[in-house]
Amino acid sequence: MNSLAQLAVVGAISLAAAGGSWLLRKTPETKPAFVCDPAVIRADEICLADVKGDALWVDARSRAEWKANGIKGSVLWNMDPKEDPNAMEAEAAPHIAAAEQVVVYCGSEKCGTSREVAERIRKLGFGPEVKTLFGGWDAIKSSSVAP
Amino acid sequence: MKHLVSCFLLAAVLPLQAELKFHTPVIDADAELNDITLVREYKFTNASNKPVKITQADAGCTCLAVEVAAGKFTYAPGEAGTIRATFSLGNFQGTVEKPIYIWLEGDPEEAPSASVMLRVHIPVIIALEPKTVKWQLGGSMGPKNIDVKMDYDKPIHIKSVSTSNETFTARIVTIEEGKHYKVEVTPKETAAAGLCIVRIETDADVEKQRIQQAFAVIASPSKKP
Repeated sequence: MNSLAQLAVVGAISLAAAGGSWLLRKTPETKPAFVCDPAVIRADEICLADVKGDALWVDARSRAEWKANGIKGSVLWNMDPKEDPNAMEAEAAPHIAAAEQVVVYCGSEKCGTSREVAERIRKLGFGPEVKTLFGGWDAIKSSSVAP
Repeated sequence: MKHLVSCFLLAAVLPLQAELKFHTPVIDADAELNDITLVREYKFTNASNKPVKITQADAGCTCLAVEVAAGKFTYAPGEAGTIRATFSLGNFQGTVEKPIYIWLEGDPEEAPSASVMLRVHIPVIIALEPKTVKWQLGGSMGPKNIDVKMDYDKPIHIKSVSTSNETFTARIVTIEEGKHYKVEVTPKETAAAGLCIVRIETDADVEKQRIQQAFAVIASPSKKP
């Protein structure tokens, strides 16, 4: 096979691969909607679709973010050094004690603060189920829960 | 022809291989009690056969600032670099794990090429156990204890205890002066559900941990106050 034929074969493989990729991705320029698969998330996480209607939301973002667009009825509990941790815990405690389910969210899928806050809530020993929201604010912002 | 196709396939697979090799991908760091921030560095090498460009390095937490040292983002094959992480201790206590994600040019937003971990150990000098004492609604009114243990190089004394409402009383029981106490909490009645904050003030010279709080709860067995 001469060089021209070899080049044609490689070109054909490239085109086939690119075409396959395009078909699989459908519309590559469109960002997919936030996806949460309950089968693959951690045991202490929850998908937005599985959060109970009367769950207590705990916002682990900054006070400014919480004030700007926190979920209605949510309480603030973060790890910000500017906050008084005892005061924040005391303000959240009665709400947590009265809840059946508590769901903590922070700023993004990769934010770990919600896990820290969830662990502190569990250590209170009040009894409700405590979960962190898979995807955090990224999951909320495009949903009907968003304010 | 075989060689040409092999080269083609190899070129297609190479981008899937790890490009940044971190010498210590998990760093354990012991913080001092009065530290405000803690800095650790992750050394890496471009283990691929082509230049790589770091487009983003982030921990997704305002408590952890991540930067590529010297503002250098592009690395030739075999070239070494450093990612610097600055953790703000804030109100964290105990062991805190923070992942750091590194995106290279071409990485999708949801799938960074590399990640490392910072595990910070922050001393807890006053430990309460349990954090909450509970009574059943309409049940016995006997006292319950919160164990308070000090773990510090100087004695820490409990100066006072107080409750946020009059349904409960609290008193200090010394087990070992400066080291070990119990706070005994007693409800005056258990006829109504309720929650009370038990505030424990110590003479610890570490401001962040000087005042501790616990909770006393009266609730039905199946539900909260």
